[in-house]
Parts: sequence; C-alpha cells; structure tokens
Amino acid sequence: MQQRFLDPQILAGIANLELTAKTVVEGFISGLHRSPDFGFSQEFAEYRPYVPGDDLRYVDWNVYARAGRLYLKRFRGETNTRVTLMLDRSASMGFRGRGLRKIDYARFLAASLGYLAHQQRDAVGLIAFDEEVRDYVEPSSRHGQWLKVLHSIDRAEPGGRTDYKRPFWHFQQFLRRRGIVLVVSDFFAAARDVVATVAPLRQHGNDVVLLHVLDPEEVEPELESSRVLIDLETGEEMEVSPAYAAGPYREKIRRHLEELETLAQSAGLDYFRTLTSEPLDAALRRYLAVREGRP
Amino acid sequence: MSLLAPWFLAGLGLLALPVYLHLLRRSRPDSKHFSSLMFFEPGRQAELRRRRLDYLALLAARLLLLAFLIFAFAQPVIRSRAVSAAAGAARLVVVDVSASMGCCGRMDRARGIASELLTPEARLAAFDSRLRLLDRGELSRLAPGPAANSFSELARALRAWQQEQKRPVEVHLVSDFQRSALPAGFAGLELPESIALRIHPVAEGAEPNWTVESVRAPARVRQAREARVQAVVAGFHTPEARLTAVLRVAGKDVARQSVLVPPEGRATAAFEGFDLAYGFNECSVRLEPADKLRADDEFLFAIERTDPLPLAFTGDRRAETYIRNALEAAAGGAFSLVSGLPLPQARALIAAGGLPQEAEAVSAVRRGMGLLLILAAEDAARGRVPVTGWKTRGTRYAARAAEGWFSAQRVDPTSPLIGKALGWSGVRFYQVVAVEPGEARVLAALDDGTPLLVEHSLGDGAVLVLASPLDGVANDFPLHPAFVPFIEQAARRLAGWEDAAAAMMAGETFAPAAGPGARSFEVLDPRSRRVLGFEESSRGAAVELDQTGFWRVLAGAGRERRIAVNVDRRESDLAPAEKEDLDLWAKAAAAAGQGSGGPPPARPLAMWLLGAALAAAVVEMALAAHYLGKEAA
Repeated sequence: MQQRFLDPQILAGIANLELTAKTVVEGFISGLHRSPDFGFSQEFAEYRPYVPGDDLRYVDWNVYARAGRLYLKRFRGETNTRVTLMLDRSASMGFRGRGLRKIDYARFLAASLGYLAHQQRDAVGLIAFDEEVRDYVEPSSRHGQWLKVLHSIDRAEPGGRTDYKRPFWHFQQFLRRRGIVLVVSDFFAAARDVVATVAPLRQHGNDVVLLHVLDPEEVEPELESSRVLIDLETGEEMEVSPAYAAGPYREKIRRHLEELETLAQSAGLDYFRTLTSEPLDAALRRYLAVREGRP
Repeated sequence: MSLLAPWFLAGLGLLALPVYLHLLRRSRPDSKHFSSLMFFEPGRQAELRRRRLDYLALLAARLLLLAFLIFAFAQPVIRSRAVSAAAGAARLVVVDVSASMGCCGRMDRARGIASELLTPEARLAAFDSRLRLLDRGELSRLAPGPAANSFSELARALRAWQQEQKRPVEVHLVSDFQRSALPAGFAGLELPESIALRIHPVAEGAEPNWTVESVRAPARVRQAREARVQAVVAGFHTPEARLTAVLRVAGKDVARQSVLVPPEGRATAAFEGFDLAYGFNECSVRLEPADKLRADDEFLFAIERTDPLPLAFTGDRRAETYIRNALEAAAGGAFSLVSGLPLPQARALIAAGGLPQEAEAVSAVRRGMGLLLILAAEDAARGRVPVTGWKTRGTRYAARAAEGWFSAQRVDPTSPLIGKALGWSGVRFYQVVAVEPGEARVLAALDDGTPLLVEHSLGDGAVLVLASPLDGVANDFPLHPAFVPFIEQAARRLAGWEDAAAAMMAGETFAPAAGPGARSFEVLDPRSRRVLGFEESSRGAAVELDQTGFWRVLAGAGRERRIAVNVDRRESDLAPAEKEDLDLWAKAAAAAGQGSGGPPPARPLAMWLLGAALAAAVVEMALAAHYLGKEAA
C-alpha cells in the first residue's frame, strides 16, 4: 500500500530544503486532485465581466451556461498578495522530544507554505527571529526571491530567547502593504502577551496565522523517574517528578493552548497547531481545511 | 566481651561514607534539556522521596561490611566462665620446692594450699630451677630441695607445657616468691593469654638468715698442713650477731672460730694448720648456732692431698732438661719427671725422639695414661708416628723458606695448651716433621697446614704429638716464654690434673667435654649411686647436680675427682618480692584471667567477624550487580 503521508523523519533525511518543500507540496496537491480552491489568495471576492485580454482560465463557465455571459471569478488578494513567514528560531525551538527538532519541523512547514505561495506567484518574504530579528527577506515576486527565502529558512538555527515584542515592532516598521503573515513558533510565552503582540498586525488589515509547532513530549511529557529539567533558553534547572509531569503540567499546558487559541480567534487571528510527529502533508491538509473554514 | 584494641572503633566514622553515597550523591537525578520550564514547578515531593534511602539492602550490606571489619580490628574477646568451662581449661598446681621453702614452715603451708587447689582433674607440679610434673600422691612427700628457683625458667616451662596441652591452662603457683628469684625485667615472665595465673604466697616476710656464703680452699695440696681455708659468712636482714664457724674435715670438727657478723653484712673466718690425710678430704664450714634455714648454714668443699704426680721420660737428654726445668718452674713440684720409670707407675709418658717400648706404651695409653710424643728426624725417616700410626711426609726445613724460619700461624686458642702458652706467638721453628694426623685435632699448624701440635684420643688415654724436636736446634721453643706454660698444661692434661671446681651449686649441670680427646668417666652421686656411665660420658651426656653432698667422678687409671655440691646461695635471701611486683606479673600474665577467682580466659572473635565481613562483601557484590544491571537496563 502506498504510503499516504510523508513522515517528517524521512523528510529530514532530504538535505535540500527546496526539494523537501516540493515533495511535500506536490504530493499534497496530487492527493487533493488539484482543486482550484486552494492557496493563500483563493478567497472568492466577486465576479466581473470579461474583457478581451483576460485569462480564459478564470472564466466561470457555469455562470456563462446559466447567464450566457462571460464573467471572471475574482479572488481577494489575487494581485500583490504578500506572504511573510515569521519563523521563531529561539533556543526552545531546538527541543527534540520524540521526533524531529521543532526548528526542523518548523522550517519544513515554512518552506512548504512558502513554496505554495511561490507557486501562486505571491510575494514571499521571511523574518527569522528570537528576541531580535535575526534574518529578514522582504517579500517580493522577483526572480530569485524564492531561493533567498529558502536560504534564510535554511540558515535558521535555534539560539537566543523568545521575545515577540521587538521582532513584531520591527516587522511593523517594514510593513507597507497588507498581506498574509504566517507566524511559526512554539509560543512559549504567556498567551495574552503573544496575542497582544501579534494582534496589531491584524488590526492593520493583515491576515495573520499562528502556526503553533509543538513536540508531543511538550504536550504529554513522560518521566519514568524524577529528572532535573534544564530550560533551553534560560539554563534554569528544576527537578520534576513523574507525577507532576503526568498531572499538573499537562493540565497547565492544556489550559495554555486553549487560552492561546481562544484569544487568537477572538483577536481575529487564525490558529493552527501541529505536533512534530504529524506528517507534513497531513498538517498542510489540515491547515488548508482550517483556512477554508472547513472542519 | 571486651576489646583489645578499642581505638579502632574510631573507624566507625567510616560508616558515614556509604550513607553519604546513598543519601547525597545519589540525590541528584539525571538531567534533561527541555524547551521551557514555564509550566513546571519544583517537585519538592519528588526530592524528598529521592532522599529516602535508595537501595536499602545494598546500604545495609555495606554498613555491615564496614562494621564487621572495624570490630574485627578492635579485636573483641569474650571472657566468660562458660567459655572457660567449654574450653576445658587444665588446672596445674605448682609448688615451689626451692631451698628457701625449708624456712619457717613455708613448705607445710604450701602443701596445705596445694591440697585445697588439687581438684580431681588438676595436675601437680614442683619447681625450683625446673618444672617437674608429679603424681598427686607425691604432695605429702614434697620437701625443699637444694636448688634455687627461677620464675623466668618457670614461665618458659609453663609456655612449653601449655603448647603441649593445646588448651587454656589455669596455673596456681604456691611459692614464697623470693625477690632473688624474679628476673630484672618482666619480659622473661611473659605468659600467653591462654595461661591464667593465680599466685598463692606462703612467705610472711623477710626472715633473718645467716649463711656460709663461700669458701676459698685449694683443690690439691702436697703437705699436710699447708692448706688455708677462708670462709665468708653473710647475713640477710639480720642484726649484728656473733656466730661460730666450725671447720669439719673427714667427719670431725677440727677447728672453730668466732666471727662477728655486722647487720646485714659479711665477715670472714680463716682456718689453717689443720691436718689432711692423703687422698680426698671431705670438708665443710658450718655455722653455730643454726638459724631458721639450716640448709645454707654449712658449705661443703673437698681438698685432695697428693704426692707429686710421676711422669715417665724417655729420649733425648737435652729435651729432658728443658722439660724438667719447665715443670719445676711452673707446677711447683706437682709433677716429678723420672727417666726410665716403669709405665704402670707413671701418670704420663713424655717421649722425645723415639719410643722403644711402643707396644707397652700403646697398652698403657689405652688404659688411660697420657703420652706426649716429641717427634725427631728419625720418626720422619721411619715414615710413621709411633702409637698413632700416622704417616709422615719427610721433614720441612725452614732454611729453604723465604723467612728463614716457620711460625705457628694456625692455632686453636681455646685449648689451654695454646691459649695459656701465649698462643705460641714468636716461636721460631726451623725443622718440622710433616705428619698426616687424619681426623685428630690439630691445635697448632704452620701456614701451609703442616701440623705442629696434634691431640689424639686413644682408648681412655690422650696423646699429644709435637712435630718439632726439642733439641735446641730444630726450634727455639725451649727458650721461649711460651714453653713453660705449655709444658705445665701438657702435664696437667696428660696426667689428669685438671683444675677441678672446689664446689658447685645444686641445680647446676656437670657437663664433661665430648668429642675427640675427651675421656670417659662415670659419675656417682653422694649416695654412691652411678648416675652417669662411661659410655654416656663419652657421648657428652650431662648430669644435673640435684643433691647436696660430695659427688665422685671416676676416670680410668684410678683417677678421681670429688665435687662438693652446696645449696644455691641465692636462696639465702628470704625476702619475698614486693606485692606490687607480683600483682603486676599476675595482671600481665593473666590477660585471660587468673584461676578460679580471676577473670576467665578470653576467646577472640576477630576471625568470626572477618568471616561475617566476607559474607557481607559477597552479599554486597550480589546486590550491587543486581542494581547496576537494573540501572543499565
């Protein structure tokens, strides 16, 4: 039986990030049977009458059959859509529990999403950040832009502490046009602080998606015996018992996830959570389902 | 239970080590990196639980291992009567039978105490200078002997006896514990822990006692009235007293002399001008009145009145002149040198250059006559030495040597013939007959080993061979100062006129010299019982002089010695040892306890503890392997 989903561990064996993104996206597309209703800017906006010179691919032939006139389907952001990938490269993203490192999974995810946008000739940009903006590629549709984005994604290695305020303030300084902002992070910060920091982007008319990447170990840690846990970002040490990890911790992280999702949705932010153990194409499918408002 | 080395218990502090390793070192669990601790809280409950004693069984095994080792080093011993009974300690009742026990009813008290101590399984022993095991029935017949006692000798004998028993020994010592019997230090009194010593003193104090401490008298005289006897009278713990010293000769009191003995002092009584009969005169000096210890009031000695001992001579006249003059100069007429004297009348024969009656001489020597052979050039020409039959290898002349003369280079200074003759130092020999003496004893030899003087035993007689003629040409020996003492010693040796001990002490051993040259003899005790035969004496067997009186030593050819044996004068001081000294000895000797009233013997537990430590080590290894395997998994 043909394997349906692509194991992240297998994808990690592919050294070329572009190849990984193509593998994920094209496999994913073939799985969807090439639906016309996908992508970042495929949100239907209105019909307009056909004028000579328009691309016949966008003619709605159903309307033509019913009305006998040629109309073109218009999509929101069909033109000049800017996709900005914000990739968290803080030290906590270097955690590796039961599968890939979170940073690796996040890079695959960002590359795949960027590849999707690139295929639609959207302007794709990147901001890699921790407590500072470490790498910035301004969104553009120019030739070679995609490779620049890929190289930046590829260079992103974990380091530094997480602080959303300064990178997002910095991002707002460069934000000239509205677009789609994809924030790929583990969001290990207070949910209110995260949403409060990101929400202004939405208020400026951007379409903001929070892509929450977590390791299964972070959601449901399993300790056989008491362990001293060392914080990857602060170096703080703390002895944790198995009982606490199995009980109070899971309850706390669950509340945190719920709070983050709730606050994000209430702030008009899309929220999408995935685990590093989840196949990338499956994650993409679920992401697009979320984007289209389908369960 | 007690500890012989309790300071090792300080090692118990080491027990903290495994506790520390289990409690503290293992309290830090393994660490692990985590993305964020924002949702964690310190697990105090886990920490407390971690600090519980992990691996309790392993910890217990390690603690036990250390504890067993530490207690083993501390050398614990169990002292209990049950142990003593279980060990079956042997009881030995030792009664002092030295001469001092004859004073003041000490022996009666000792027998009474011993009879109470003699349980059915107990053994009885007597000791003075040595330890003797006796039958129980001999207790009533125990009497003071003439010998002195020695507690160091007793301790040595007890150690040896305990080793034979191979079990703990309980020794009851009944004695007057004379101070003079204790050694200078306690090292000689040391007893092993398996000997429990209990002392039973019978002396009530330092009793006053006078004694004839010593007598100076000649062993031999030639004239009836020439002997002079000097006796020393000593008092121990005594006041000033006037005593009478009585000289007794051959059973008759012949002289008396009053002496004033100062308090705890000495005085001298001298006797002279008394008659002595020919032969041995058994004499004594006695004190009157007698005191509480009669055994040391009389001192025995013997004086022999003899004519000059006849020595036969044959051979060179010049040699005869030299020898006669030397004998007159040295021995003061004790020997008479007679040329042509029949051999049966001679005590010894001196032959200088030839022995015409060799067969008769050999027979006489075998019967005990002495023979001094002075070899001449003719003996070298004949190729053999008379009497002995040794071969000769010609004559060596010093003129052919580099120095122009020979000298005695290899000498035996232990022989009086050499040692008292200046070691023959400086004597020049120009002509020496080379003989092959076989197994005979070479007393002097040239540098190349050629014998100069050889001693040989033949039958009961002795033969001396001088390998250089005394003709005034072959050597300068007759003109040398060493010649006179050499001739005197040779005459004494060959005639049997050796220095005899005028008196010996009871308990001493008479040991004749054994080996080549030694004569055989028999020894008769004061009751004329033969205690040593000829054959035994030739093998060097010794006789313990265990009775006072006159002992006779009979050699061949009618020669005899008379040995006077007296009570050991160390017994005369009746002062007992200090009580502190005795207590110290008893404590030092009784680490395992003393008798029925003292602490019982100890049983060491160290070996058991080491065994337990070994078992704990095995358990520890098994548990450690188990836990390590578990952790590795």
